[in-house]
Amino acid sequence: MLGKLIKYDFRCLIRKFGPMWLGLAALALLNGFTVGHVLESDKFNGVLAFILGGVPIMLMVTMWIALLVMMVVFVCERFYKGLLGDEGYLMFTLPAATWEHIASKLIVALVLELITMLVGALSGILFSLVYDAKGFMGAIEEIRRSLQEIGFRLPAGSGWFIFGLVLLCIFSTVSSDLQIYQSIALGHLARKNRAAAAVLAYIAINVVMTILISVLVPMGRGFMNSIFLLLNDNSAEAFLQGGNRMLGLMLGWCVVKSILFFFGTNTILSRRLNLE
Amino acid sequence: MATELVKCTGLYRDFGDVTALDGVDLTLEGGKIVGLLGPNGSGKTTLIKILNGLLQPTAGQVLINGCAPGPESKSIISYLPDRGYFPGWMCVGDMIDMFRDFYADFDRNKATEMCRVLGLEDGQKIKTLSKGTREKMQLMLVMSRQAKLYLLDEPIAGVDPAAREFIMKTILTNYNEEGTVLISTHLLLDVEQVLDEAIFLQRGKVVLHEGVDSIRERTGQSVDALFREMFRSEQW
Repeated sequence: MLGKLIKYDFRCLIRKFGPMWLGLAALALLNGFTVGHVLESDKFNGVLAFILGGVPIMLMVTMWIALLVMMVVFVCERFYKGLLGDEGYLMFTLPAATWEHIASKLIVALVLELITMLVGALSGILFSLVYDAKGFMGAIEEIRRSLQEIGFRLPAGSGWFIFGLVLLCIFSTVSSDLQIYQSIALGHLARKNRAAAAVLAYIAINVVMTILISVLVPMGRGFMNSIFLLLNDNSAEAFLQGGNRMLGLMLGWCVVKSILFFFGTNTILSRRLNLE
Repeated sequence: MATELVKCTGLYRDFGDVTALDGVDLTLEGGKIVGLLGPNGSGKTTLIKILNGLLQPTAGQVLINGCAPGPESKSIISYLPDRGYFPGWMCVGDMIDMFRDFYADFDRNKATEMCRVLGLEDGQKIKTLSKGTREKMQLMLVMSRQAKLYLLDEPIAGVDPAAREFIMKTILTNYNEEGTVLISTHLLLDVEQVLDEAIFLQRGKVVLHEGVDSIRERTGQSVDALFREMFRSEQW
């Protein structure tokens, strides 16, 4: 059933964000053209330059801000309204387990965040290619040549470091989304003002996490010091070793938080669901 | 041999100071049309939500076809809530696809035929439909399933007589005759003639559960007349 739930959540995602992603890519192309041919040209000035060159930039910035706000709203709304509002009467009567509903929302939120990041990178590349394709390709070639000249190569074990970084990015996003779900689930326990209760729960979770970190870090002082010693070492290998340990620690923290939030949310929605 | 499709034992549910269900013991068998009757606030919707797993009882046990409410029971229940549940972004076709994907007992041809009667097309956005059409579409989806248990929460409340007729006709011509239909309502006059059994719910308690023929024989009056007599002092 998880695959089927993802299918419909994904359809919703594409309908809401598809036009926006395409619009941003198109605006990047347009801005690449207008910056080069309008703002940096003598042919246009005054109001005309503002309309042809300034407006597309303002439009792109506004759309990016709107997209980022919409992303957060989507993650909250799809869970809050999609499961605990009127739509919940449909979703929770489907023959699917509660954990599948949570996992579906989480996976689609993660896809949203990943695609938005990719659209950002793609927009940057499109802008640069249209604005000055030769200059862009030249810059890439220059970086490659410089690295070759100084004989730069990644130290042994870098692959794990990069892999760890990617995992950390994924799990920190997962734990952030799950913290939102956990807060909404806790808010659902309140008899009235559930949205306000969810906000309070979010703040309370942050406070508890901060207290936990401030208690746990001094307990592992020896381990932390060994990491800092390695990070301050001049050799790349030692730095990498320290970095790997630090990454492992942060990754572990995110994984533990994710597990706690997932099971906490699942327990509340399985045992205390109350669609009034 | 009669089979127990629904079994509630000592079901209790409160909302703070308000007791919605107060020790409900109830058994429903397959192949019946049952009226869940009671005035507003008697606990009808609470009971239906508990049967669906949308609400957890404070105490007591529910078994649907021998299982506690969960994915297994949900696959045999077709539920019509007392409110609209369509996601705003969906088209008519999306909803039909969704029901076909999730419910093995969904009859796509029946749904298409009912859509034709309602004048609905696959590409129509649900949020552009009128409230009445959305309600009818919801009923169409629910009745396009060959479910073992239909839970219909106030299907005829707040609609005009013509719509009531359409709703009752849709229910009666499409339900799975081997399954059980539980209709909650306080508008007994429109449903009495189709009921096999009646359950009277008063302040969270089952005060009567009996076959409608038996009620008529025993009391010498219609179920509607008995209902009015019993709940005369209650707010409808």
